[in-house]
Amino acid sequence: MARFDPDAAGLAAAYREHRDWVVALAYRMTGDRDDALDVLQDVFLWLFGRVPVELTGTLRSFLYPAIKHRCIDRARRRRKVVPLRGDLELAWDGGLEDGDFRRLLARLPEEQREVVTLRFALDFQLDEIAAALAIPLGTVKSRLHYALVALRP
Amino acid sequence: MTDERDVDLQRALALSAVPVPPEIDARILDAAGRRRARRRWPLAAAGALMAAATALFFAFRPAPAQARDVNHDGRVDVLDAYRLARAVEAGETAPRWDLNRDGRVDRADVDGIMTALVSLQ
Amino acid sequence: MKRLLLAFLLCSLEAAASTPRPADEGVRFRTLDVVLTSDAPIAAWQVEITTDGGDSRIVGVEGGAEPPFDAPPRHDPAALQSGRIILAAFDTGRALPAGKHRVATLHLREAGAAPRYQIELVAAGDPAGERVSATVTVDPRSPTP
Repeated sequence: MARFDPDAAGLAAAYREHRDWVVALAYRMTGDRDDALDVLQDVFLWLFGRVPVELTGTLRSFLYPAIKHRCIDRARRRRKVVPLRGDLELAWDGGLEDGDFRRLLARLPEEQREVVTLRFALDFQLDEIAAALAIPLGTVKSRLHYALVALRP
Repeated sequence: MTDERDVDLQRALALSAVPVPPEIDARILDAAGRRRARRRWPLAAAGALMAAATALFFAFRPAPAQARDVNHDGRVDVLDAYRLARAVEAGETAPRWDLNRDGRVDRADVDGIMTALVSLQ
Repeated sequence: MKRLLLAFLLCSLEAAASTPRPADEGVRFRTLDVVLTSDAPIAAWQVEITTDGGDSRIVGVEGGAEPPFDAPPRHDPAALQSGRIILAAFDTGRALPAGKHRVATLHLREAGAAPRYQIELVAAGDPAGERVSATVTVDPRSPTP
């Protein structure tokens, strides 16, 4: 456990360090740049209000659920997330240019899309993913395995 | 050694950069400065405020379980979280439902009920 | 308001073979489907599952077969690697139609003597938020070594 309790300069540094991936991930999840910017602001204002916090993992894995929940809230409010399969909440394809890959990714269950995005788009380590999603490491490995089987024909 | 296929996946899944307008940066950085500034109150003033707040807390705060019994059926379960979520969506909330005491009745309060429901402690 | 029916199912997972298993039998993995049956649409539900006897730990939680409960239900991460879990979920926009539905799946790691699984339906509600009667069962799948 590590205590995250920086001063003003430390909070500003944390924002600069994490800003780009937070907003980019929010865009990937929602497919909407305005929503992504709203999520960025909400997440950091929430973080500043929460400190000090005890981190069981990295700050990234601590921020991840906050990002995801806010993206889901935005998607519900907008109600314009195109159902990729069934009636899922998040697009997970914001900014993906390759149409073939988008379709391939869309066929995965959402929990597999989530894990593969964290691993390969954000370079989260497996234990970071487990901490971020509050699931066992074995479940992370299993989801990643099945996702890779589908994505690497 | 990195698998070549991993590199392909990294490229395919790479996130798109989202430019952040300077006014948003400024707003967030300003909030960072104000948040820490608030915590530098003189110790005595902070102590007096805490004492007063504590007195009010014990005088008026409903028991946590009572506050979470949103539908007043004598028990706290998922139906309370559901009822509160619907009230939040409809904009028809009551101050007593500000369960996390952040000055708002919103999904965070709903999440608080859900967290308590499934907690094994 | 109908009184909630308490569904208490003792699920004995004895082996098909008649010979008793030794206490130090190897690890195996089992999947339990949590199935909700009701005469009314379900917009919210909450169940508690405990293990009785044997050495069984919950190692994963998955969502159900169809929206709106196809995402993993809310649960306490501390339940993972323990033998007790409370699951809860709701959706304010959609509801499961009346009938029988798989709302979650548990992945369990078992060792030794076969455990028993007890499930209790804590609450089920319709889209109006009213408590409705429903039953819940756990349907085990065959264990895998």
